[in-house]
Amino acid sequence: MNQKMRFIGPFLLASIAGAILANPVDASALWVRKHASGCMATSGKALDKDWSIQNDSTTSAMTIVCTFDESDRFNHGDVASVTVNGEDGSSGDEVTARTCHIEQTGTAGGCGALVSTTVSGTGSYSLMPVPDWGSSTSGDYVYTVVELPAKTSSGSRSTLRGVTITD
Amino acid sequence: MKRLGIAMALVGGMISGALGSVIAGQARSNDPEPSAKVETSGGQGRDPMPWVMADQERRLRSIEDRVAEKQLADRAREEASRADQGQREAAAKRSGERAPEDPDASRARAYKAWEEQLALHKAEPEDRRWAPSTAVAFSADLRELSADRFELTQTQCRSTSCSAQLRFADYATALENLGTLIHHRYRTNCATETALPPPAVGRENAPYEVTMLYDCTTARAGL
Repeated sequence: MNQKMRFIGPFLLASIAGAILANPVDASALWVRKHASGCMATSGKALDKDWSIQNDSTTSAMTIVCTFDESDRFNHGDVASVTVNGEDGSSGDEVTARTCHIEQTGTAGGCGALVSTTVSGTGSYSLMPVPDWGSSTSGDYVYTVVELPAKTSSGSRSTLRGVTITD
Repeated sequence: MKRLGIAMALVGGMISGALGSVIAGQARSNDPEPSAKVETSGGQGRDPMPWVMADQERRLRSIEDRVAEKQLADRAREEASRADQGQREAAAKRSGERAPEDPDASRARAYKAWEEQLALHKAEPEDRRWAPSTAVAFSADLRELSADRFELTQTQCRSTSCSAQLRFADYATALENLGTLIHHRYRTNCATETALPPPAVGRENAPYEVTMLYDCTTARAGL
């Protein structure tokens, strides 16, 4: 009987440990995807067309701010990548994106370095600004700033489709 | 709980061993495992009254089985309790880490991080091949940006970072321009950072100095 116990005991312990290990609380990958219509244009002339936000201004670039709606499950300290998608309609200017943070009371903040499309290139873009978010910004609001060039003389507009954030 | 389980196992084993010893009429003190004594009891030394032995062995096996079941149940409860406790602790830790930071703590943390970044910048050696020209570029950017909103008093670069001193008419004007300063597209593509701690009471309308910090590590790496 006791001989059997020598095997049943470890088996039982291994079963319990296996059950615990196979049921982790936070193992699944997290991501959020936000359509451009959920972002805010602070300059330029926003046009909601073809499932994207476009800059309809012929004179000024459009700055669009996309917030990251954080939660206790997925906050900005967990973010590994930010991907910004859209169309670069200008062969004379570039689309840029950067991540920023602002302290809760609005008295401190900053932004990461810009990433951009090529000046002469046009077409679909996928920009990945490095998140400048971490332990030093743990209490801050974070967001992504995208700048779209002005509409070209030929009527070609640059667009933002959305932003995807992953852990 | 674990000690209790071990103690119960020992007590159960000792009882089983003692019963086995009486029934079999053999001393098994050289066996290190009390319960092992019971296991060997049936195979050693024949009792002259086999019908009594059979009955006593049945009873002994019944006791053994109950002791074993109790040990298993205790161990399972102990493991379940330990796992539950671990999960509770992990959840508490997670919720503690992810609880939203209150504004006071957030401000204090931001100012501290800012001071540390500024100290790192000041401690950097100056790269004479890069610093002067980059400082000139930042000066040009900030002069274009000022539009009488602030006065640029100093710009200096080190080896991977730069700083600029801006003087505003008062604290409120400085706060209004925080967004413009950090979001601006400067000639040199660097990360931007600043902090505007409130002035001392009574100094709200006095000229306010802002230090802008530019981390140009990425730009210097040619990325």
